[in-house]
Amino acid sequence: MVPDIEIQHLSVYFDTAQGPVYAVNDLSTIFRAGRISGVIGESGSGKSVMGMSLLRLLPNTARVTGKCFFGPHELYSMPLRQLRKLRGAAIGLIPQNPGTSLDPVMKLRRQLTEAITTHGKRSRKEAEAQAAKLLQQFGFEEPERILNQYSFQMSGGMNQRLVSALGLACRPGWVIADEPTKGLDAVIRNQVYTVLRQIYAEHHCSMIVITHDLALARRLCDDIRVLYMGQIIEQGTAEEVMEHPYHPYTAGLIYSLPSRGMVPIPLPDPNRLSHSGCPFYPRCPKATARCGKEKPGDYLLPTGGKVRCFLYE
Amino acid sequence: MAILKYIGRRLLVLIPVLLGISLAAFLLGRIAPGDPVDDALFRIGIEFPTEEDRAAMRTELGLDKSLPEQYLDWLGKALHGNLGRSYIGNQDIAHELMTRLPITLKVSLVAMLVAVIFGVGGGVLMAACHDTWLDTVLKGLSTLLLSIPGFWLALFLITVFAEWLHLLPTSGLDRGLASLILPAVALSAANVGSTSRFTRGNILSQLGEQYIVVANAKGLSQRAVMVGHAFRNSLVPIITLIGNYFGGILGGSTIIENIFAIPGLGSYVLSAIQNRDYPVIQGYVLITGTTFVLITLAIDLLYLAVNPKIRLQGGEA
Repeated sequence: MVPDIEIQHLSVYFDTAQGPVYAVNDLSTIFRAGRISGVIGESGSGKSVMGMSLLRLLPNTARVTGKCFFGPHELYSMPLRQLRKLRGAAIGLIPQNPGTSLDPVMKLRRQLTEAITTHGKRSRKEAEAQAAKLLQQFGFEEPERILNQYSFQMSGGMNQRLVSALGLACRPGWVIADEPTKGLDAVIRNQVYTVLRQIYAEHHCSMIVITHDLALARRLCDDIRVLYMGQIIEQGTAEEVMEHPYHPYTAGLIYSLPSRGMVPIPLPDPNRLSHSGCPFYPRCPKATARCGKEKPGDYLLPTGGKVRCFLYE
Repeated sequence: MAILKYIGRRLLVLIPVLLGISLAAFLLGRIAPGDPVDDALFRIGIEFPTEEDRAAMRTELGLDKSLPEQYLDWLGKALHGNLGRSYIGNQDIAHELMTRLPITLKVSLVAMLVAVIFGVGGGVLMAACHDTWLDTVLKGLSTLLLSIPGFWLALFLITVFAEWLHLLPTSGLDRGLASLILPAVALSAANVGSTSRFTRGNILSQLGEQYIVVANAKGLSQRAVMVGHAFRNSLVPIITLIGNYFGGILGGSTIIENIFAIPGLGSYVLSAIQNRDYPVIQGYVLITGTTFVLITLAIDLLYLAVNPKIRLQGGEA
C-alpha cells in the first residue's frame, strides 16, 4: 500500500544579509496516493523548493522547519541512512533541467543501473536488463546502444526521457516531477506529457507534478495546488481550478495565458508594498483595505476546494 | 577518429613550443655578458690575444656567421645530440646532462607521486568531512605546507628524520627509495598544500551541481556520490593543476638536489650558473624545457581517460 505524503507547517528559508527570505511559508497539505497532484505558480513561488524538501535535497544553506510525513515516517527526524532507502525506491525524482541532471563523465548504463543496484534487491546483470527494458518503454528502440553512450551525446528530448526513466528505475510508488517541461519546445512538451501519462497508467505511480506549464497541469493532473510566495492560495480539482478560478491570483495566472485572453497580472502597487496582510495584496485587482491588514484563512468552497481569500469568507 | 585528431593536434602544437624553447636557450648564450671568443681563448691559455687570434677563434666557433645561421647550426648539432663542451672541465655537455636527467626525473616523479597521493587524497578527505574538525585541521595543515619554503623544510626533515630518528639518509642516493623520500617530500610539500585545497574546493563545487542532487535522489550512499560522481568530475581540473606543478618541481629540484647532494640536473646547472658556463645552461634549458613539454603532452593524453567528451568529440564541444 502506497502511503500519502503529508506536509505540516513546512517553512523553508534562506538567511540573507537582509534577513531570512522564505521560499516556503508555513505550508500544510496532503498529497493523496493514487492521484496526480499538480503544483503550479510563477518562477520563485517556492514550488521546486517544496518538491525538493520532500526528499531532503535542498541546498545546505536552506533552513527547514515543520514536518513532512511519508505514511508514518517523519522525513526530517529520520536518520539520513534510513532516508536514503526511501529516495529512489519509494519516492522517485524526475528532476528539472535534464541536460544538467545526468553525470557528464559517466556512461548512461552505470547511471541507470546504480539507481537499481543501490537498493540491493537486484544483481548488476538484472539491473542492466531492467534498465534496457525501461528505456524501451520510454521509446528508445536500441537501448543497448544508448546505455553505452553519455548524456552529452543525447538530444534534449532524449535526456528528458532518460531522467524520467531514472526516476522510475526502482519502480517507486511516488514520483516527484519537477518542471518536466521547462525550456522544452512544443513537440517535446507533448512527448513529456505522454511519458508522464504512461508512467501513471503503467506503473500506477502517485505523482506530484511541479510546473508553471498550465496547459500540462490541466491535461495531466487530477488536482491542482496554486502556490504564491510559498503558500498554497488555492486548491481544487484540475478542472475547477483551471476553468473556474476563485483566487484573484489564480484567475490572473490563467487569464494571462495567450489562449485565455493574455491579460497580464498587474505589477505591485508601490503604495501597498508595506502591509501585513495577504501576500497577493500589492498586486491584487480586487483588494480591499482589510486585505492589507489581516491574513486570510483557508475558506472551503462548495466544490470541495479551498481558497485563501477574504472574497470567499 | 576523434582521439587521433586530438592527439594529432596536440603533437602539432608541440612543434612551435619546442622551437620557442630552443630559441630561448640559444639566445641565452648570446645575450650573456662577456665575449665568448675571449672566454674561449682564455681557456686555452691565451690571456692577451692578438686580433689574429681572435679572428681565428671567431671563425672556429662559428661566431662570424649571422645570428640565424648560428642558431640553425646550433640547433642542428643539438638535434644530433651535440650540445658542445662546457667551459669548466671541458666535458661533453649532452653526455653529462643525459646521465643526470634520469636522476632528476626520478626525484621529480616521486615528488609528483607524493603530491598526487597526499594532495588529492587529502582533498577528498577534506571534502568528505567538510565543516568538521578534521577538515579544519587539514585545512590549517595545508596552509602551513603552502607557506613553508622548500629549503627550510628540507633542513627540518634532515634534522628530524636523519639526525634524530636515524630513519632516513641525510644525503646521496645510495639507499634507493629511502634516499628519495626526504627530497621528494621537501620538493612537493607546497604542492601537496595547494593540490589538497584545490581538490577540496573543486569537489565541493561539484556537490552543488544538479547531477549530484539527482545522484542523491537515487538513494546512493554518500561515498558513492562523492567518489563515483563528484570526484570523477573534478578530475579534469585537478589533473591540469598537477601537470602544471611539474615545471615548478623541476625548477625546485635545483635547490633541493644541492641540499641533499643528489647528482642530478639541478646541482649541475647551479654550479654552471655560478661559473657562467653558458653552454651548460643552454643545454639545461633545452632538456628541461623539452621534458616539461613532454610531461604536459602526457597530461593532455590523460584527459582522454577522464573526459569522455574529449575522447568522443575531440575536445571541440
